[in-house]
Amino acid sequence: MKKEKNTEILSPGARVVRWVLSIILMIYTGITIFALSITVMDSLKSKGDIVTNFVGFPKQLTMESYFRVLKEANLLLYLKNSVVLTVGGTLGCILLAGLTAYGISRFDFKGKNFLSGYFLMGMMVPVQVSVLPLFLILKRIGLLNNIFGMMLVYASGISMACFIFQKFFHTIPVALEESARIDGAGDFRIFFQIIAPLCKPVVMTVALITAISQWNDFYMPMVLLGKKTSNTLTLVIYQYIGQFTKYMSESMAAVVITLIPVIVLYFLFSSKIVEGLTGGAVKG
Amino acid sequence: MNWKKTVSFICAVSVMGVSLAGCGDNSQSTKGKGNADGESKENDGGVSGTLTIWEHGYGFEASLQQIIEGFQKKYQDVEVEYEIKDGDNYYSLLSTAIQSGEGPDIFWTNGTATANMKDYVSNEVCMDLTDKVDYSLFGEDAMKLTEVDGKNYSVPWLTMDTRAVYYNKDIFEENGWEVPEKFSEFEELLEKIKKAGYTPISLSGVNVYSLLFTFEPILSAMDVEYTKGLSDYSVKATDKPAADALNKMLEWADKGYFGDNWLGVADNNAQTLAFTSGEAVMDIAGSWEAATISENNPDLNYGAFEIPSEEGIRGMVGTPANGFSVNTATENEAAAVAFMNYCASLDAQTVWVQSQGAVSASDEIEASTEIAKEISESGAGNIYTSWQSVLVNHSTDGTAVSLWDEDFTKIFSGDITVEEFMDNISKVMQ
Amino acid sequence: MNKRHKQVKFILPGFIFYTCFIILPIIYVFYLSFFQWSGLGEMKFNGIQNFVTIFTDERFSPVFFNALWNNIKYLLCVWLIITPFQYLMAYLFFIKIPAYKYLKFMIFMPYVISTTIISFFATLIFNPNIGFLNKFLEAVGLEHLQGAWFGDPNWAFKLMILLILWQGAGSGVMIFYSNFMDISKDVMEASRIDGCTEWQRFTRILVPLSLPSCASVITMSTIWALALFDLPFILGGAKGGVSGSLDFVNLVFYRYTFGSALNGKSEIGFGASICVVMFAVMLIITTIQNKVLKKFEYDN
Repeated sequence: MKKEKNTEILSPGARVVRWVLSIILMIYTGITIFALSITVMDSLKSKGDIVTNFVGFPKQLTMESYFRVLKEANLLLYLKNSVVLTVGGTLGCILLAGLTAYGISRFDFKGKNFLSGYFLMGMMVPVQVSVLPLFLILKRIGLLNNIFGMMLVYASGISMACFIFQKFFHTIPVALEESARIDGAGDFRIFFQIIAPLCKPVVMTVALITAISQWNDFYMPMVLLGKKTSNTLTLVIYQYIGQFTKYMSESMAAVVITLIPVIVLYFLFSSKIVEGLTGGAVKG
Repeated sequence: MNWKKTVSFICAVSVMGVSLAGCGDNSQSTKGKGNADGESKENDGGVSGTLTIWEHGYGFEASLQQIIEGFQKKYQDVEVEYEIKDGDNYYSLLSTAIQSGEGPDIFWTNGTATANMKDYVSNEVCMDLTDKVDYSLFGEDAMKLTEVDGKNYSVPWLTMDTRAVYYNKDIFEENGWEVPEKFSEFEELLEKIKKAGYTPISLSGVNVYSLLFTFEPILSAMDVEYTKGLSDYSVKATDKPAADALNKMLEWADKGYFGDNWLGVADNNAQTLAFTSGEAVMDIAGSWEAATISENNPDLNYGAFEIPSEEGIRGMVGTPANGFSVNTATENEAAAVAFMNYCASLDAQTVWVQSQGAVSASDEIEASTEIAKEISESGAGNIYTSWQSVLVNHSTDGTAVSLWDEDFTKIFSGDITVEEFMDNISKVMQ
Repeated sequence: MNKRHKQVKFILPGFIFYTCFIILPIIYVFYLSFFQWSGLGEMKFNGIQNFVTIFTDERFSPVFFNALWNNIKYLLCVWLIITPFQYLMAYLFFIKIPAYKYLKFMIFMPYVISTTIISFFATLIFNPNIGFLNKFLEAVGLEHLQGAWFGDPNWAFKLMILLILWQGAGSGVMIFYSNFMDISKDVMEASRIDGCTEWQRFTRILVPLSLPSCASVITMSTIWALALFDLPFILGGAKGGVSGSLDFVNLVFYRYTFGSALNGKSEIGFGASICVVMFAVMLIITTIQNKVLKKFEYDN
């Protein structure tokens, strides 16, 4: 049963302020709508049309650029690769980060702060340079040009997720675990059955952000998944975006194509983010 | 304390495990490959095996695919895989892979146009192809790219990488403008275009290469003798004509010939777009840009010419392009050399030049596009050495080109003067 | 079972993977920073020479410090403009201002559009020749206001901040928002019954309660600010814009490592040493910042 928060009584003044803010923001989001609609419209223009007419409506609608982008013979394979990689990488990352963050924030031990900093270091070196040794490591363990290898790399990039989770776990009252422990629940059971459901909004948000960045990443796959059979959709599509001037309408189509799954993902996750609220309210 | 030990122990073990597993995996996979290769070799008695090729940009993918197709018609038993490593760290990645013994069998370099291939040769990474490949197709210019200490290490592509002035034919016709025959006419034309309310030349003020590809043709037009002298280094790169050409560009910038606020043109894409959309009437850029311009706006009616000198002499600044080299560590030398020989054949070269839509550097190959033919006609067979390649090849300590790279844009943003720039360069030139 | 070592089984899996795939490469980078090495052939041990070059070389060190200064300037913008903006957005969604679902989606949306397309839009708007900002100014007779925008050192940095505000703020908003969602509703409810005004609820309850979890966003924004690369790269080119106005340390690293800017060939050893210096800077700033943020955390 959902409790509607909007039922609260607001003073007329507050209500006006809210409306004003909302309208200002709506105008602000106009920029995004503008950008998105240009992208969609441009993807439906012919090549000559797009150059002389960036902003306007298409003179003639054509799906040509979509066909050109999607003509790749192995598109389904690339799509599968992308999905497997993103799903596996995100799940792995969230799981590893969740466990690690729980271990660090919920137990007292020496070196806690050091460890917390240690897990943050991963964000401090540019990927362009760390990708070189990564290439060697994957080659050594025979996972270069292998989706699973790339997935491992993504799953290991837990810096951001781990850090956010750590801070978050701090805010959960210890009493919850204590009572479960008295009931005889094991550590992992406590984590998965009591802590994890409480964190749904944060977990889902971090998962969303992680998934999007993995889905959109073309740089690491380009270096580490060079072989055609292990390419991802983003990588194949990047060939157009990377030669933007040459393939302008195709690039726009490519962007729209990669945007669709991301938008689906967003709605899938964002309902969960709200769900977490009611889930969290059960405590007490 | 205890957990620390446990953790560090497990960490150490896992790292060792990873590297050990790697060794095992490695030897196994190569063995497996070797066996398979061996068998097919015995059956066919011909060239077979697997080749891996690294190419440096997506723009070459389609051409490479055609080359591989052609090659496989001749050598059916050779499996060819390629990987495109687009972006600036191509060389770092390649070096890393080669250093670790995991490099591709065949890879692209700039040849002697940059320092990389020389570096590879001195580290014995590039196979000496002098006696293995039939180079009869290539002229002196192309061979220069492949040669280090008298030996040849790569196979060039006979695409002429030059610079050209692209112009919008429709706007020219509307206003009754003609392709200039003399340098002074060119300058007058710029003034006329400016007066007519267009941007005369589209140029990015913050991209070194965009600036270079405009600077070099202007230099060659302003002083033909000097530009010719660059090829045997009988003149210095920092001599007065070079400074004059830079000052000329600054003068044009002041007059607004590159558009007002041209420093805000962020990159080559923006430069090209201003031309293809008809905002700018001309674009001075690499000959390979023709493919992009045509693809970007198929409706654009445009042509190309080389800037004439005051005496009416035109020429092309540039060289053929370099292609692939063979990794000395390749396990399949026979197939690799066969591939290189195929690349050196007229068939392959024709396919490459035509699929790239490039200017042909050989009489035997006809360019596939009108614009490419127009460029080589306008060039009239005069080939000039690139000013920048002189910096690469005649610097005392190899730093001249990096000085240029760092400082060239600063001239145009007014952070340093032309004299300061030339002084800095001349200190590290022979 | 030793109760004291319970954390090990939680931390270990993450620790192993993270160490193998993330930390090992970083260690390798540290190792490289003591060598002069182009990526191939003999690695010449260089001691601390690379670092000496960074700080004392008369050509390089001004470039480096200019870039570092830009990073710091940007960091200040993150602290004073971008983070408060994100926090405020998240708060507005939390109190469910009208149409908040739509607004939340739209604010987040630019985050998923690839940076290449962002650069195209930047060209479309700000390009002095074809961009419609200048065209618009011309059309309304304000030609004297036309500018080079990203090519103008006075404008470039400010415009970049605006663009980042639009494009990059989404993820932070989402994290703040999800943190708010976990604040017990009972507390908020109780406060209203007690007759708190909206402003009081914001400053007395929401801000203190959300501070610990928000500390993580701030810490990470700080690291991201010091590692900024993508947008300045596409907006001002690898050279860091006109007169270095859009030059950041990672751009310097990039062009000296891959772009042959140092001695005619790629110089991985030197590039690595730039990374190491930046790593140290990040470590120092985040440590100090954490100390400060901790104070807030324990106060409530």
